[in-house]
Amino acid sequence: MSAFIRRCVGVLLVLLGVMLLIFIVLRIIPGNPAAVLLSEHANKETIERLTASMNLDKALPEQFLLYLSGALRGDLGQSYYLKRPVLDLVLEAFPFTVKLTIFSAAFAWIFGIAVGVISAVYQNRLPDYLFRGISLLGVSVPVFMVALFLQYLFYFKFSLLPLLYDGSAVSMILPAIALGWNSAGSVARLTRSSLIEQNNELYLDTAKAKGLTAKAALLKHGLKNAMLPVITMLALQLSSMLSGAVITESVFGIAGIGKLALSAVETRDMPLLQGTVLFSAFIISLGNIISDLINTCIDPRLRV
Amino acid sequence: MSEDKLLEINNLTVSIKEGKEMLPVVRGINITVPRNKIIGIVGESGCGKSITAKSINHILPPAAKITAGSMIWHEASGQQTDLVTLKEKEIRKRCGKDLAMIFQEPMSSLNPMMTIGSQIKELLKIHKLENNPQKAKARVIEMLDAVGIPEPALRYKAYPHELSGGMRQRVMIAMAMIGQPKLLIADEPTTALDVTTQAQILKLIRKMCESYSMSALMITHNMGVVSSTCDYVYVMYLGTIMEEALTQELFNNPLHPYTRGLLSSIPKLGDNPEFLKTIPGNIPVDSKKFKGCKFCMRCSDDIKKCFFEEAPLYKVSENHYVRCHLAGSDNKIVNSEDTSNKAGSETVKGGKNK
Amino acid sequence: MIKSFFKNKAAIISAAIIVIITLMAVFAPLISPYEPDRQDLLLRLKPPGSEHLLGSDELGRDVFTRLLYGSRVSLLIAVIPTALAVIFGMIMGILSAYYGKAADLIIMWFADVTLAFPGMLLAMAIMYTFGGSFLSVLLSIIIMEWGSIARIVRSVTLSIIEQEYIEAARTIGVKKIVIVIKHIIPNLLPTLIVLFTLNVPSSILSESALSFLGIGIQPPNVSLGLMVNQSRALLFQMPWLALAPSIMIMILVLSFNYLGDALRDILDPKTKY
Repeated sequence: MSAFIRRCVGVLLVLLGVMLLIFIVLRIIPGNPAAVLLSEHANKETIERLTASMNLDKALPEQFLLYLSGALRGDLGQSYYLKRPVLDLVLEAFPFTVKLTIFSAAFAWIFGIAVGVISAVYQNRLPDYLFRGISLLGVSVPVFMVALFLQYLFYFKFSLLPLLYDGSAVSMILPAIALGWNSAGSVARLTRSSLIEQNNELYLDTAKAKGLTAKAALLKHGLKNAMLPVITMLALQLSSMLSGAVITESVFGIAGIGKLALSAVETRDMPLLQGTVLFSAFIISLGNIISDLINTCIDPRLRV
Repeated sequence: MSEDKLLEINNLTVSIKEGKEMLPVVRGINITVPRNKIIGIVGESGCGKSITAKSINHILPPAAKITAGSMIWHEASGQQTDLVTLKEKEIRKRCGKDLAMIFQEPMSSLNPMMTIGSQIKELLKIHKLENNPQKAKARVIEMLDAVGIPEPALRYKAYPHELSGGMRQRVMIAMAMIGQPKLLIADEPTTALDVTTQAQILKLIRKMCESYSMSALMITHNMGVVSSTCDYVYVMYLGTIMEEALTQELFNNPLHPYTRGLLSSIPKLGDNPEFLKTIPGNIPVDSKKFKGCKFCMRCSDDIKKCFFEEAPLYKVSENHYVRCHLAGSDNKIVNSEDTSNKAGSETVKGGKNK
Repeated sequence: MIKSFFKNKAAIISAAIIVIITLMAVFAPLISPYEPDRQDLLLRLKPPGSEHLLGSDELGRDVFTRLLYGSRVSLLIAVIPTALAVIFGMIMGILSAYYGKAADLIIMWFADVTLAFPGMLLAMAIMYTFGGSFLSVLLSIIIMEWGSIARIVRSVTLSIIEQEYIEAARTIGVKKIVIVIKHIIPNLLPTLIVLFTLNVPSSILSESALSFLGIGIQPPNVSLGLMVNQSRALLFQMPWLALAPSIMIMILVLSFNYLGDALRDILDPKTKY
């Protein structure tokens, strides 16, 4: 348990660093954001008023502390462009991203693990070469290529699925595959190598001596052991999925976090960008803790 | 008396693929395991004894292949099966039921993610020995008790990492015994354990053999293990049987210089610890061209003949055979030609009656 | 080592593809008679043919020529920041492993902080501040990649300094910096080479993603991701406009991935990253 608490403290420290880094990155920008926001024709007075209301007249450390205490109270500031609290905007967008991520993670994990297992069982035989090719292709194609290709094929050529996300479950299929494609590739590759590694483990000999065929021994005894590193990858996957979500959401028109962040960059909306980045870093840290917990649950050696 | 035989290994040759070549690591050995006896194979690491054991139930590493020989399994009914020719599914049907195996490393031989109880119970399920889960569990607990695990009902739910090395080896034995096999292959079962535990485990194996009327094939490098458990011993060196005899006979009258070396390297109380006896030299790198005795480089008594011709297996007595020009030259030659170098040649050695 | 490289067919083929594409990108002006940004409105949207190998885009620019010039940018952005990230990650990893607990804590904390961001979103923050340009893409790729490189270098360094000859060198009073230069860095080289090769594809993908979103490389410069972005509107009418640069990215990434895998098997078979 103390290891878990130490881990949580570590995560909190990392989150503090995350806030500091994003705060600094977004403020090295030369010039007064208030002036930029108000265009050239605004008079001095208006600029000063806005500057004060945005705390921009205070020293940077003080600004950071104000931002930090605000964030702790759930106040991520006010969007420049949309003129609404950042937290509200983020929380409105979040369910879309969650839905997208869950669907694509499900696709990635089911498909990835299946491909990895088949590859490992038929190591260095035809199915292995085939599936290894597919999974390498999985990690090698850009997300936008998969997205555009799926749109072309399933909307334009076969008119099977809608072009954009319209709230229905059917319209989530293409975005989920597009986003999950890369992850499926890396899950498959890791599953394969991890499972093949189990072949050197002595307990597989025991299982065979018990009467299980090599294949059955690998699936019944090896797979569970092989899954541990795959689960550890979960947090990493989450991170790359949130990255990919920016593209997927913009291609399929899903009003999630990624699209929000992109529009924040396009409209030069600093508080909104800061809020979205911070929020997604928070989600990733949470994912780290969750994958730790899952591993603790399934690996008896980690239980205290 | 062939009805007494359980397993007859004839001219077994196992080779390991190295690059494009197949290097023989077991060269045409003959071993007979009678019913209700404990047979030992003793030798240094790398002599091929573990490979021999693993070839019986087909768990050889992928690079190793049986290239010649047969392993005849004698059913009580008189029916004979060659285990070498069995397909994977058929040999697996025998593993756990006819043939059981325990390993050197009890630490890593158990699946760390499963409770020991469910790992043992799995065997009953595989061979459909007990389909009722409650009864199966009761049988496992009974077996855990029989191998001397305290509080078996509690330990049933334990994970391997929660048990000591000796306890894990007991679990392995319980797993081996639950299918009531006719042959237990024990591959260095005590090597990884401390000395007091070693003795307990050996005693347990003996006891199990007696109460379940089971044979055992004991693979070890330790002469002490041989003397305390085995009825009959094969001494193996570089994939060849150098000497075989009843245990008592071998200890009283060791003939092969290698056997003598092995015996004298057991430290005795009162020995000067600074002068522990060893066999000089290392296991030589194998050269296919070399036709002489495999041991002559390390032998203190070698004669010229040893460098040019490998000795045949001489029969010293009904229960004692030796492959050495010096020790065996007054005795009858059992195999007229050298079976160990010619894979596939017919077995000539007569049956040993015990 | 070199022998086993030449025995590995995947390694040779992927290395050959990388060399060919690099040569084509470098000698683009000699290969193509067109200029990447010369517009010819009379030649708009020509399908692939003998005059324009891969057709022309909506402004009458030759797609094949743009592909070559785009590969230039993609390769540069793949190689330069990855190399910088490997060097920076190496320095940080060695510092962390070899110079005291405080340095270790701070550096690894900082690595964790940069790894806690979804890379794309952090890159977007950098784009916001510095604007879309070659340099800001370069900067964001370094920030995205150095952390995991430093972590691996740290653990490999730890296993190197545990070895006895380093211990021996230390006891006879060899200076730390000398040990680092003479013993640690040479031993790290295989790991660094593999890390570099395996990080190049993610750099290519990051650049193309940023440019695809319109916040990376800006016109009139060409990049493969930007080409896909510009041809999105014509996806259904002229799919090859988007397909050609996408496939180019895929070939590059695939080749580097294959090469990295093969190099890892040859140079560093025990380690896994």
